[in-house]
Amino acid sequence: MINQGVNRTTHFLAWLGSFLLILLFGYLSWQGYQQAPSPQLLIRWLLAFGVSELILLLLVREIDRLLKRLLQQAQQAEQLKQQLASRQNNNYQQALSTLNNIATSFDPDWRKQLRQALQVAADYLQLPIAIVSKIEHQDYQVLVHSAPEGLLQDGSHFDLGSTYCSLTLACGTVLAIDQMSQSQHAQHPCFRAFALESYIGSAIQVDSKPFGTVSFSSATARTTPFSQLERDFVSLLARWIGSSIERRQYLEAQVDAAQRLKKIASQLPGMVFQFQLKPDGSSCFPYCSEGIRDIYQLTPEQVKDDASAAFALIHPDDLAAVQDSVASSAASLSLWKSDYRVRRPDGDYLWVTGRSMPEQQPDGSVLWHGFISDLTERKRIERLKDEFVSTVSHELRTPLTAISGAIGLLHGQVFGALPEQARQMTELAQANVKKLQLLINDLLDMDKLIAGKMQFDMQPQPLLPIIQAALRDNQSYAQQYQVSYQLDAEPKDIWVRVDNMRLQQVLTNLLSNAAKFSPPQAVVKVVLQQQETTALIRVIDSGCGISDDFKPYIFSKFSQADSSDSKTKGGTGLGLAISQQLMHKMQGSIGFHSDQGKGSEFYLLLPVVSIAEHSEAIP
Amino acid sequence: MTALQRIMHVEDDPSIQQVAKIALEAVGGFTVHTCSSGQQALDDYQAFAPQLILLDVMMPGMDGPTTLQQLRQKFDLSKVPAVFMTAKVQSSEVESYKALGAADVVVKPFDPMALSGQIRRIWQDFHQA
Repeated sequence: MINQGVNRTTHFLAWLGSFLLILLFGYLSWQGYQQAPSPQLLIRWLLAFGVSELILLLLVREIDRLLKRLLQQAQQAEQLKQQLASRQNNNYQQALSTLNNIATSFDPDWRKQLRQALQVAADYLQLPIAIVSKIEHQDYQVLVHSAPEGLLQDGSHFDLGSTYCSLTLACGTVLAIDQMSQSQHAQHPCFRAFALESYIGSAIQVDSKPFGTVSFSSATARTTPFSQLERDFVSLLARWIGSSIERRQYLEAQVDAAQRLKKIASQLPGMVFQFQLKPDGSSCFPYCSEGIRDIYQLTPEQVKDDASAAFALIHPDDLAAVQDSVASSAASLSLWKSDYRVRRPDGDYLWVTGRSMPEQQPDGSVLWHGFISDLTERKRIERLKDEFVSTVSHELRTPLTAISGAIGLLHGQVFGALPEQARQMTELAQANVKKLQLLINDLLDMDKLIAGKMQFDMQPQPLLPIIQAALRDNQSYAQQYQVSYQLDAEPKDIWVRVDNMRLQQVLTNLLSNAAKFSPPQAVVKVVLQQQETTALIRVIDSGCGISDDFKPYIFSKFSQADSSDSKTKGGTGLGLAISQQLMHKMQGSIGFHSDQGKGSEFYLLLPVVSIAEHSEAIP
Repeated sequence: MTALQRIMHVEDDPSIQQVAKIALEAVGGFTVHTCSSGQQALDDYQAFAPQLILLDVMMPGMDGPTTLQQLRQKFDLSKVPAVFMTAKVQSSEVESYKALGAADVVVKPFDPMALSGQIRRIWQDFHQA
């Protein structure tokens, strides 16, 4: 194109010159011919024209050649420049792509990964010493480096002031120095110590906080100054290193947490777990501690995707209850608690207890976190304790019978009249023997209830007479505390199916408690009501009430509000536990509400027997 | 109906033996022959010829019901009521003892001052039935 342009211009110049020469020489020869017309003159002018034309053509050709050469040179220079730029660009692209590969590949050894990145960058920048540093206050630590053998070591420390990086941190952006000896930093201690001529570096931020630097340096000065591309590259690299350290720290924190959990979980008795119930009904243990080996003799891997191996080991009699409890915990998102048996390889069963808290997941599944522990030893000890209590109670009864009889005879003055003080003593002894008997009876009742040996004579019968009998029997007891009972029975003819004696036992317990905890002159109200198909017996006192702390334990064995109370009020702490068991065995229930300081109300609920049912019982 | 005089008490615990003997003799005015085991009861039955037998249910070796059964096999007890003594019982248990041939049951620990009256009542009920 340009060549053609040059050609056209030189051709035009040649033609124009030739034309002007013809005009000039034509005019000159015509004038000469006017003054002295001679053919020789014309030949001279013609000759002169010819020579001039030749010179013109030679001149034009030289100009043409010169122009072309200049143009060619310019073109070559341009091409060279382009080649260089594209090579630089190629290098840059290649370095970036290698870095990217390093970044996306996962290497558990993060130092190795960073070192690879530094090598790639050092090659690209043509600076052999590359360092990622961590800087705390004035301490400069070589975190990872890439440099000729023997020059540096990872982990070595320098004073920050003795490194160029102090300048990098101060300048805030990429610091690039082509030739240190010619720069304003020629007096820097680092130059004096290490004589590094060229340097490029940038600060690294981790979690938006200064962390350290990445820098490249060489003992030789740069032949070409650092380009903008190279500065951008170092800036990008610094950001990449920052984010990869961030990610690494995050991963390490996760690994740490997992390790910590594993170590703690391994020291726990039993197993800690996550249990997941999916919408399709399948279940699994996404996390499970090694303790599952002790509970189910399974490994965490065996139940990671499918929990059925664990369920298969549950005692057939307990399986339905466990499954129901899981389902109801999932439905109500309430605490799961269950005691059940798990089969061991030797065919024996292990008693275990589990509890865990469910959470609804976005995918519709329910996830529990909790633990299961071995209950076998506790069950064994409980059984031993029950046996012990049972044996002791039975063994106590014989001597107690003798003591009670002996004191009874003394007190009955069978052997003659007693002095007044001796009579008081026998009375006191008798009262205490009576207490001891009640305690042993309670213990034996509890023992029978636990062992399931207590028999119930369940008969349909009117409820009111049972209540009246219980009130009559407890009247004298209440008088000790100057308390009276007041019965308010709205419906007179409610029938229930109960064991008369057992219900009286429960009522006696409630009535005596109410009297015991009421202030003198108080009235304990006993109310009988019917609510649809349920009979409701309420025993309402105006006593001291029950503290919130004690409420959860009120039906527990051997529970009394506090020891000082038990000393003044007496009792075994078994009464309510026995009452609850008795009501349960009679298909009824017991409950209470209480305001501390205002009094308590205990109530019994029993299913009412229909007329058809009790009319059958009459004949 | 003859008056009740001779009572055989079968009980393994010496203390209870003593208490019951005094309660029945001193308070009730009966004559009590105490046996420490079912076997002794069998051995002594004929010589003492009791009008009423008071038997502890739980005894080592031969228990109360077995003793009664053996006595019945050997002797005619149709006119001799047997009374079991046992700890706090349920109504269904009383029925089961009665089915074994007991006239009634006395609950342990017993009131020594009331025991004689209780035994006398059982004696009367037995003869009225």
